[in-house]
Amino acid sequence: MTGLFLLILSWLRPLITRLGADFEQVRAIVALKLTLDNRRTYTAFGNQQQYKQKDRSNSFWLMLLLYSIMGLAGMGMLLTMYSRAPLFALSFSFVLPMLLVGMALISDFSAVLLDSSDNSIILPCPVTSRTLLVARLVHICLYLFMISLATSMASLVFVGIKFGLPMALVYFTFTLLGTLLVVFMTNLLYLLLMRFASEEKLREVITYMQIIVAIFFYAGYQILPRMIETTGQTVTMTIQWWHYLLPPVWLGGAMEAVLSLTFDTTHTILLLLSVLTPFVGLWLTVNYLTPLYSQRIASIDTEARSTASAHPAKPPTDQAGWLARWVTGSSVEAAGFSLTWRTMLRDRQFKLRAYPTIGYMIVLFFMFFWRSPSSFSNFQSGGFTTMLPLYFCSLMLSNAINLLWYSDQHKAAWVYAATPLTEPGSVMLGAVKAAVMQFLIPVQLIISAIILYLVGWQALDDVVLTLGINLIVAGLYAIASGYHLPFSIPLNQMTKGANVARTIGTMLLIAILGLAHWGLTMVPYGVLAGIPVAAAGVYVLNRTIRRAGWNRFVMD
Amino acid sequence: MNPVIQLQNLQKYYGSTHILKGIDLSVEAGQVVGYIGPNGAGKSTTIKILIGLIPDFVGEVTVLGFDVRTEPLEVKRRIGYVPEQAALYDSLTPMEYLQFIGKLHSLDAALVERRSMDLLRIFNLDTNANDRMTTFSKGMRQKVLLISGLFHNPDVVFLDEPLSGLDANTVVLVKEIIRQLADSGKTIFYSSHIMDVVERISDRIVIINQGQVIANGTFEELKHLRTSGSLEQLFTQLTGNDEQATVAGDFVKTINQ
Repeated sequence: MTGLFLLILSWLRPLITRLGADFEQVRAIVALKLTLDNRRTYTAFGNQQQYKQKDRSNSFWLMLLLYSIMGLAGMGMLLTMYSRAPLFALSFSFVLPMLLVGMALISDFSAVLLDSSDNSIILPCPVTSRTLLVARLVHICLYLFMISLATSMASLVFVGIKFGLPMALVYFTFTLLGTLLVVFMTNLLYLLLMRFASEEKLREVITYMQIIVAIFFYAGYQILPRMIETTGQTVTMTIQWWHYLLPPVWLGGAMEAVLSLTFDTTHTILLLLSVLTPFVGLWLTVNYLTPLYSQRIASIDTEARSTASAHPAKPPTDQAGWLARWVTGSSVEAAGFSLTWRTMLRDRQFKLRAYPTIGYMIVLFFMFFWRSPSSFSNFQSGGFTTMLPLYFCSLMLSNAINLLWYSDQHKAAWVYAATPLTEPGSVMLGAVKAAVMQFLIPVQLIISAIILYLVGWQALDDVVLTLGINLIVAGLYAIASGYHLPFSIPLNQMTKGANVARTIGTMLLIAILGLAHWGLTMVPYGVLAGIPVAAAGVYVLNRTIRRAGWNRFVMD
Repeated sequence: MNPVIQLQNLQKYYGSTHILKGIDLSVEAGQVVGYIGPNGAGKSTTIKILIGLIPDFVGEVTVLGFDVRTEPLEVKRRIGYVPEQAALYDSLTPMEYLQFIGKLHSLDAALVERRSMDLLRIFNLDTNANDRMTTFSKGMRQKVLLISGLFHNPDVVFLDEPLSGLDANTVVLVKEIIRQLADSGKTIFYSSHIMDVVERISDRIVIINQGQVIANGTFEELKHLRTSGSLEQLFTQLTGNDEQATVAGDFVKTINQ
């Protein structure tokens, strides 16, 4: 796969040179990054494959396959809607790849762009910061192009069959332009933030920005289907002014213009927007914002160091210790809990990866109120659909649990091996509990309260069962992702872009358990009977994790 | 003759923290300068500014006559930098790593290959040339870093803590390399914590504390500042930490309670 990427890279030579970067250096850095990506050691399944020198491409291809299956939705829309509302169908087919690229981008992008780990290796060499920036953009773009291409593969085939190969090539070009557009919009946003945020604030601002971007992408996804008005058999889409704000519509319009050879004002504007904006973004990035990049990149991780202060610092309020006494059974478990609780609140790397999901959560939650006017009235009537928002809490939690094991300070995990620790399972259980308390319980309580307020006390059994099921999902997820001690695996061993795939896996699990819940609502007292079963499940999982011995854990 | 390294009133802030409070220094060609100071005194920051990594500072800094702020690339082409321990991609092999650094320096690939192999052979690493560095000891990594910082034949060499974590034999080796590089006309600027080595191989010793130069001269000159026999004693006196024996006593007493 590295070879394929480098071949694509060689086609980009004129562009890279035009951007003012040294092509050979860009090539060297990208080749290095790809090699490093491939050599990440295998810990995903917690087995003995630690130093197996195996190319990681397989998991990447699997992920691409998953993306292309998701892409079938885009083709489905083209298939069913193209004859009636071509602009809408085309726009929708571009939404999916752009959305998925956007999601992959915000979960990985800042980590790649603002990576300071190789500052002391690459920067002392005669490499301009422009070259480094271009190399980093190329590295991430190569992955994103593959994702984008996989997602639009089905639509591409559809266009190819219906309109012929040349049109498929045009569609392909627009797909790439769409990816570039997403990359440069995000990039521009980041670099603008660097321009205006002070050094200390930058980290936090970026975290919040990721949440906002996540909301933005999802909102776009939700707005588009609302563009069409269904009146009986005819579906119409009239262009409104705000449609010009939606990049997928640009691409959809551009594609329609080429397909039907209509070049009226609307179509011409959309065509120009989709062709020009990626390059304007590129140009702006390289010319105005790179100098800033060079300044900030060197200092991004240098904390304003605190020297020994004259007066003794007063200890921070001990919420972690207080909570640990409540929810943990042993002092070892409490230690795992407190460590994880505090690190989750303080570690920038963790926050950078965990918080954007909160953005998705908020959007997914409101989606249920917005989707159709009738869904709100469903709430008054109670019923199973009322419980769906509660199940989304699990998504956020599973992402947080997955992040628990990774840290750039993984070496500090020597303490587990150096101390006479006999119950590693307790430490892991404490860590999982901390994640549950921080990422599940608050949201779950708030949403439960809203549901109880809207529906009344008769929903109490459902709410309790949901909590049980969410805890089971958390336990199963923790066990399925392998037995690990908190923050003991190097960050770079995380599989790029696998988050989305993992989320879908969790969704499946939730769907199965949710279906069981739905089945129980059909049986009189079914839900009430389900509660002790769920409680037993939670208990068993709890015990399984707690009792896991050293033989299950893999340490370097 | 123009100084090779020149710093005039160098100041640096991280946020509101004043890290360097006006450093003035000039270094002649062929000198070995030991740059020492307590943790957090600003040693690494000074070196990072000198090699052009940090462009936003106050004051004038030139290396080989080039302004590091405006012409960092010219500086980087002519200097070598050996970073603090462990700063390398250890999932690469030494050969791959050196080829990568060579490309970034735009060196000829064949030359890089030949020279790397020769240098690895001299360090007895030729049998490990194609093993991944994950399993390498600190000494082996440091040898690879030394090669990567020097194989383009720089005029000035910056070393950040080149001796920390090395075994005695490698310390002797690095020490000898520093000495002989200087004898061949190169300028060496390094930071260290190992006082007796600094005392023996430096032509000039610069001590900084809390962002300011508090001593600058040959060891003989520094000895006149205080009545002390070794650089270590002098260092603890100058940086205001001469109560270490009392601190150690309290520490052990508390543990034994």
